[in-house]
Amino acid sequence: MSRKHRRVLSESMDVSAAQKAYVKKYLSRMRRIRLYQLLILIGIIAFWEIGTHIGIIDAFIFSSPLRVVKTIAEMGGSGQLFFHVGITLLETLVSFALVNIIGLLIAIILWWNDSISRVLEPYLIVLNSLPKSALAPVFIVWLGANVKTIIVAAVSVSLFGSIITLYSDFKAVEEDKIKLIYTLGGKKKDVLLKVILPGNVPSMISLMKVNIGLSLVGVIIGEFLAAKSGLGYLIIYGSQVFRLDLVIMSIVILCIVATGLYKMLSYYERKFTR
Amino acid sequence: MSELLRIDHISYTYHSLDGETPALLDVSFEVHDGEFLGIVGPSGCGKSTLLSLIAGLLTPSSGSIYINGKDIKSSGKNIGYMLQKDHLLDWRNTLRNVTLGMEIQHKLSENSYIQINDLLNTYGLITFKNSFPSELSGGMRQRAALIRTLLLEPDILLLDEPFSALDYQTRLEVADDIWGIIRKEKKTAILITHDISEAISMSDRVIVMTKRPGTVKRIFDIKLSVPDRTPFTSRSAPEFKDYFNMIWKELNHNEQET
Repeated sequence: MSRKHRRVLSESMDVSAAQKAYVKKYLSRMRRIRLYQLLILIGIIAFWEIGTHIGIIDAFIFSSPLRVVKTIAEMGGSGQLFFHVGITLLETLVSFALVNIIGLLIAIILWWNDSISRVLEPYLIVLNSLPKSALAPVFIVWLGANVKTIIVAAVSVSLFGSIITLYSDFKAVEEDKIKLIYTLGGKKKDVLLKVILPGNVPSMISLMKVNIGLSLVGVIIGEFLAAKSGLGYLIIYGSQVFRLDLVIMSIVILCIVATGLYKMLSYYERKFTR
Repeated sequence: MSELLRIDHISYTYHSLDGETPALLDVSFEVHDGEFLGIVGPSGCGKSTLLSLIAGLLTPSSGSIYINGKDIKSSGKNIGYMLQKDHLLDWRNTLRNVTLGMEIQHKLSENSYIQINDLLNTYGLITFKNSFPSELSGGMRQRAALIRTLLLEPDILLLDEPFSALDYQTRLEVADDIWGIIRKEKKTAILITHDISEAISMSDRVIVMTKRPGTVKRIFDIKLSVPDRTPFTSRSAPEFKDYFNMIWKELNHNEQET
């Protein structure tokens, strides 16, 4: 956003007064939007904190901003916080990578062989519509209460949707672009490498933006059920021993982690799609 | 001029669950070396099918195609195909778009860049070498697409309504451009179009096809008395409107017949 603003400004160096006025109006509107966004955040935090002091909000059940900060400081000081965040982050990134690699490979196979894709279609649809959280207990029985289960659960959440999305994106590539490769003497391999894959980079990245969120969802579900560490574990543990400070803190940190991961992909999206 | 390509009694039928559709029926004609052949016909007469057959993308249901007397599959001759749209790949710059064919055929070497730069220079694209397709005009895009085809050194160029996606003014300009390039490179070309004027203005001969299943209805030798013939000057030749009327009649006559 800020880069765009700077460009707008630098372009407005030697232009008409009307254009300058327009740009100025635009920028002041953007500033107002930012201001309101900030006000809402401050408002919520203030209401929450003050509410607990004057007694409309029960700090034991709802915690409070100050208590959250205190908990962060405590756990951060002992290094425990980084350990749990690190575990969750690591599990998320591993699942995310697996989903993208496996999803891409299977989508390529389905695109390559129409018979395979037709045979597997009903299975993919069933697996995609199935609520994956239903599978998590099964994974625990099969794989044990450990990291393996968490990662498999997280992968299962977004894998089938990814395959279906990628496959239909591959299929949607203009027929004439494919014909072009054949007219240039190419084979199916060239169609894949020169048109299908590079042409779908933007859709792959937007799919990744969805997948990173889903991987986090899967990891948290997995940690609820089968973990001794990680933010999901902290949430479950905190709620069981009625330490809501711990729960709310974990949720706040999850918000930050999720936003961070999403922003990271948005950055790459901008880099790859001119 | 010697015979380069011979289409020998070919037919082609499309199959689907709803039944079969004969697209081409017993089509025969020949193309001479260095000739510019135009093919006109009503839409859906199998013109594009014909080009796909010549390019070897489809195999005829019956009949054969020969280049220099050899069957097309074993002739080893290169056929260049220009599609209706330029189909430059958005994520490649001009240079990497024109080299796409060479890349696929593993013909790209250090030395080829001399030839590539030469062509880009001759046809006014050298300064746009690093530009992406979205930054090029319709005419430039079409020229880039032609260079992409020419770099594979085709013996025959197939043009499948290559100007139909352009607006009228650009269309006239690009037709002159492309025609000039093809003449300069001394290529044999087959142009498919539904625009009668375009066919007359560019071609040495025009084949009129019937409605589906398409077959050759009549062949016109186009002889225009203009000095320095280009597609644009051709349009002001005295014979131009006569050819136009004759071809128009052939096309309409065959509408009424069916």
